[in-house]
Parts: sequence; C-alpha cells; structure tokens
Amino acid sequence: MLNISHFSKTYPGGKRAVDDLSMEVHPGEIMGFIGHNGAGKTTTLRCAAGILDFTEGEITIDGHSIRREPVAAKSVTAFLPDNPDLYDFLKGIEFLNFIADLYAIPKDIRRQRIEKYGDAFELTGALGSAIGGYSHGMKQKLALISAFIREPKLLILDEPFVGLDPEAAFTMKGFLRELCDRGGAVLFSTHVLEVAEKLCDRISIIRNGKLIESGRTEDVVGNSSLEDVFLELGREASREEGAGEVQ
Amino acid sequence: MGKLWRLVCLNLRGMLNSLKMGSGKKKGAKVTGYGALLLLGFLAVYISGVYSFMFASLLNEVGLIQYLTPMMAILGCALSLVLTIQAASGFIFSGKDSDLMLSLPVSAFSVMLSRITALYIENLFFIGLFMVTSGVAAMVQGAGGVGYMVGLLICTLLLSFLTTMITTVLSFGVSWLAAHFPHHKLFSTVLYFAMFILIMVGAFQLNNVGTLLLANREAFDRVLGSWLLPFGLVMKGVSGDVGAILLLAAIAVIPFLLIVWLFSSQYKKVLSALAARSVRNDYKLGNLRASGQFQSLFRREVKRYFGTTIYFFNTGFGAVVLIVAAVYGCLVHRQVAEYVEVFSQMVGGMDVLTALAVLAIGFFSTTICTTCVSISLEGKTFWILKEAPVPSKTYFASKIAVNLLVAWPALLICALSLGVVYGVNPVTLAASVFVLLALGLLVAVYGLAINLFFPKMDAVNDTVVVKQSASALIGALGGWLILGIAVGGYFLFGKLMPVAGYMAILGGLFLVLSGAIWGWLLKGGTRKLQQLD
Repeated sequence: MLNISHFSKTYPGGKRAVDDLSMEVHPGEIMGFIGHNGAGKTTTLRCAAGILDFTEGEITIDGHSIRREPVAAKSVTAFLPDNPDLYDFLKGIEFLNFIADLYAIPKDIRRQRIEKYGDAFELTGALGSAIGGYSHGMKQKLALISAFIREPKLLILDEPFVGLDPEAAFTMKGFLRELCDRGGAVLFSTHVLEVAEKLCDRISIIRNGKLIESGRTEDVVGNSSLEDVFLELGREASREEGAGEVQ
Repeated sequence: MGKLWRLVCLNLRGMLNSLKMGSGKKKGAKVTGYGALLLLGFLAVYISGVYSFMFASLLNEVGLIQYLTPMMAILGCALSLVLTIQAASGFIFSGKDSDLMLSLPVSAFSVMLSRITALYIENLFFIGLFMVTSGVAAMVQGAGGVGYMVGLLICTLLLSFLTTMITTVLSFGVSWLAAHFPHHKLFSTVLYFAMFILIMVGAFQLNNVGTLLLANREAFDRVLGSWLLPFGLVMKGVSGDVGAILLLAAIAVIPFLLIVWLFSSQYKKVLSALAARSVRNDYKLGNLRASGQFQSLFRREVKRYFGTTIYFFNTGFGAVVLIVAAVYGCLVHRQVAEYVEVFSQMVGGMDVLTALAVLAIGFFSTTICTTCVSISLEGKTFWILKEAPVPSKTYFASKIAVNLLVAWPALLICALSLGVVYGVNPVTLAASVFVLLALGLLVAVYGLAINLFFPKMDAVNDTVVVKQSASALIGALGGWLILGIAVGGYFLFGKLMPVAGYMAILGGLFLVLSGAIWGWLLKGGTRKLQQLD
C-alpha cells in the first residue's frame, strides 16, 4: 500500500533529516514508526502524505507516486498531524462537511459515517459549535473523525495518542484495526512504546534519519520489551557513531 | 527591571519578526523585517509629509498655522489607534505565548507591562512620524524653531501614552466580545469600517481646512479646550507653555499608569476569563449538503474572508469606497453637472474625463487584492489542503473567485451607474467596464502569484499577514505600477486612437497578461505550492 524507496530529505541549510530510507506498509497491516525526537519520523510522514516536498527517492501509495500523481495518491490517504490546527472559523460539522466534499463522499454516506464516528468519539453534540472554542482533545477527535469518514486505504498518523483520553484512545485503536481488516493500512508514529508493541503488526525504528530496525513486532521485540530493544539499539548506534568519528 | 527589559525586547522582536518574509530561517529574512519596517516608516512619513506641508501652506495663508500641530496629532493618533487595536487584542490579551509567559518566574504584572510597553513603542513610532513631519512643515512656514521641536517631541512622547491607554482598553473590549459573542466578528468589522469612514470623511473635509477653521474657530477652540483637551494642550505646549505640557503629562501619564496597574494586577484573571470556552453539547445531526471541491473551497474562502475583520477591512475597503462613491455621485449629479461640463472641456472632452474616472476607479480596484495574502492566511492549517486530493487549479480558482466576488460587483456598480447618470458615450462606457473588469481579474491573478513568491506561513496572527507581510506590500505596489504603465502608455499611444479604443486594447492586454500568469500558476505556481509547508 505504501512504498518508500531510497527516500531522503534535506532541509535548506543542509540538515539531512532523513537519509536513504526504504520501507513498506502492506494492506491489512498496522506499522509503528518509532524514534527519538528529531529522528525524522514527522518528516517522513509529512512527505508520505504529500505535505512536504522532497527530491530524492520515491514514495508511492497504492501504486501512485505522491510526487507525480499527488491527487490520485492523496485520494486514498488520510493524514493526521501531531497537533492538528483546524479552521477556527468553521463549526465542527462544517469542517467535516468540507472534508467530505473534498473527498467526494456522497451525502447519505457521509451522514452515516459522521454519525458513527461522532458518536463513537462522543463529539456529535459539540459539532454545532465553532472549532475555535474546542479544547485540544476535541480538536484531535474532530481531526480523527475527519480522517476516518474518508475510509482511506492508507491512514498516516503522527503521534495520534497525544491529547486523547483513554476511552478515545481505545476507540481509535478499534477503528484502526477495523480499517486494516477492510484491507487498508496504517502507519503511525508514537513515543508510547507499550501501545506500539500491543497494536502494531510491524515496527520500524529510525535514528538520525536512518532506518536501524524494521520487521514484524514479535521478531523485533523477541523475548524482551520494545522499550529495551529501542534503548539498546540507541546505545549501539551511539557506539557506532562514536567509533566512526574517532576513525 | 532586567527581566522587564528582556520581556520588552522579546515582545518587540516578536513584532519585528512579523515583518519578515517566509519562515524567517534565512539571514535575509531579518533584513527583510527591518526593510519592511523602513518601508512602512517611509510610507507614513510620505503621507504625513504631504498632508503636513499642504495644511501648513493653507493654514499659514489664513494666519492659523498654530492649528497644524494639533490637527496632525489628531490624525496621527486616530490612524495609530485604527492600526494597532486589532493587533493589540491579539498580542496583549490572546497571545499564544501567554501560557508559557505566565508559568515563568516572572510576575504577571511584568508580563502585561512589557506588552503594553512594546505597544507604546509601536504607537510612538507611528505618532512620532506624523508629528515630526508636521513640526518640519511648521518650521518651513516660519512657525517655530528649536524650542518648538523640543516641545513637539515631548508632546509626542506624552500623546503616545494616551493612545496606548485607549488602544489597551478598546482591545480588551474587542477580546471580551470575541470570547463571549459568536457574531463578534461582524461587530468588529462594522466598528472598523465606522472608524475608518469617519477618518475618510474628515480627510475629505481637510481640503477646506482653512475656510472651515476661519468660520468655526471659536467652536474648534472650545473643542480643543474640552473633549479634545490633550490636543489643545499640544498646541500650547509646542508654543512654549510649560504649564500646558505638565497638564498634558498629568492627563496622559496618570490614567495610563492606572490602566496599566489595573490590567497588570488582574492580568491572570483577565486572561482566564477571556480564555473561557463556550462549546455547546446539544447538536443533532440534520441533513447535510454535498457539493464539489470548487464550491466547497469557495465557500470556505468566503467564510474566512468575511469572518476575518482585518482581512475584510484591508482588502474590501476599496469596494466599499467605490459603491459609496457611486451612490454619492448619482445623488449629486445635478449639482455637479456644470462642473463636470467645465472640467471635461478643460481636459479635452467627456471621453478623456471618463478615462480619468476609470483611472481613479482602477486605483481602488488595485486595492481589492484578497489573493495576495490568501495563501499566507492558510498558515498552520495549510496541511489540511496539502494532504487533500485537490488539484492546484481548483485551489487557485477558488481564491481568485473570492477576489472577483468582492471586486467585480463594486466595479460594475460604480462604472455603470456613474456612466449612465453622467451620460457617458455607450461605446466608451462599454470599453471602461471591460478594462476595469479585466484589471480586476489581473489583480486577482497576480496577487496569487505574488503570494506564492512571498509567502508568510508562520505569522502569529492574521493581522501580521494582511497588514505587514511582504506580499501585501508588493501587491499594493504592483497595482500602482500597472496603473503607472497604463497612464504612460496613454501619453505615448493614446493620442493615436479614440479613448475607447485605447481602453479596449488595454483591457485586452490585461486579459492576455492574466492568461499568462494563470498559465504560470498551473505549472510554476503548482511547483511553488508543493514546496510550501
């Protein structure tokens, strides 16, 4: 579903945020993307979603290149940033209707989906109010609803659990699994390793812009915990970097 | 004291940061910030200089030069008030860094005081530019010397306290309305327009300033001694009346300190009250309306436009002026018919007079450029459209459509109504309407291109984008350049053909240029859009 091939991103000023990254997310799979702060997770996710431009490598979604066929790729994708800024001047329902229009969701279907996800996240009652008055958690839920109503083939989430109450987080996990059961795929970044360990089918770990580990969760974790694996990989990488500098 | 000064510098840097282009990460962006400030300052000096020297000459003729300084002080303070109120409500009472600031080991008093001090410095900058140029104009007319300028500078410092105090109180009112009323934006927009129309009406009357003052001198003196007392004291203070300066200091500084103390000591309570949210929880899903991408984007853009006071005010003011001018022109056409006849003979005929009117209408048309800031206004919500499957053509078209929605009706109403009422030749009228609509289209299209070259995606609020961004400034200058070229072309080629012919050709050129820019938008513009984040 998502194919990232030899992708690199260098920002103006020379900072190489991601270096020769290759990974795949298959249909029916939830992939967890973890790494330290500044590792390149958000850059990768934003480039995959078509928000950030890049010149090295290729990213395809359902066979469509995000650079050469952006409309086709984006029509099957939904992205949620880590701190979603929404249109304060719209009401919640107006925002959902706006998104539904952009994705050409028919009228009766969008109503059903908004009702389903709005009730599940307990936000339906507040949809008549302006987004400007929402709390951070409410905005997060609204953004999630706007993503789920599209029933995308690929869902990309950047730290989706931040700001969500435990009930909403549980609900979201259910919907992620439901999406994958329908043949879709999910790629999300998180710092909550316990959730990644329980929820994800595959894990990819990035450090300083490079992929240092990727595979099925049970293979990556083995007999220890994802936290131990992550910390150990980080130590190994630091030792290699230090040795490289000495040479 | 050290902490307070650091906070003031931080707030000033924040205000200067608003003038930078792009994301401010490049070295040149800092220079651009200072450059834009210099340009704004130059424009303020230019405008106040023109008015100051004009009034100085008029007032000197009737022996009333002493009224120059208070008049320019009133104008400077009024404009400074209009320019800073909206920004102040966002900066002092709704700043995004308030949470961080109030959690630091710095008193809320110091945080508030630092913000008001930064606001004072901004007011001082605008008022100072007006006052200093008026002082120079007065000195040129022989009205004063070094002592006059010293008194003027002291009065400028004191008046800025007064304006800052009023701005702070009014901006609190704006913030309070924003927090408690769903339709507060409508109220803000109406208030803004009312204030600006008052200033415009006053500005139109200023041409008769000498006559008006002579006829109503006693009334003006009474006003300067009562509800405009500070400006009356300025008039006396620049003449060397130390008592007047001391009284002005008392009137300006004491209330300022009281207001500062009041808001600063209650700053946390004020911010908490303003931040209280009003979200209802009783919405029931009804029937939903579905539409296409273009219609949906267009509706969203219209809602943003009419819901953002400063955006509407800054770019829609020209449309309001055109409609008001059309109505006024139609109402007084019998009274001015004789003058129109005389003037048309002076300039070489009704067609030439029509061309001059088209030039004036065209000038206001170039101020109706919603597109030159529309991409920047996406700001932090830009990700929503970047991740959506929207072709850039549809996106651009929706923004241009809003610009035309504002510009074209005003242009049509103004041109057609005045043309019919003043008996303009139908062919000339048709050419006039054609060239004006084509100009409106060109402004909309080039505005978008300008915004793609000079985006400001990281502004702290809408006011910064609309009033202080590079694309807003360049959009305005671009309009003047086009009109200048059109006038130059008329002097070169206009004599070779009828006026209607020249306007028709000009309109055709505008359409061709619009088409060329649109073609670039679809390719180069799309690439630039992709590179924005």
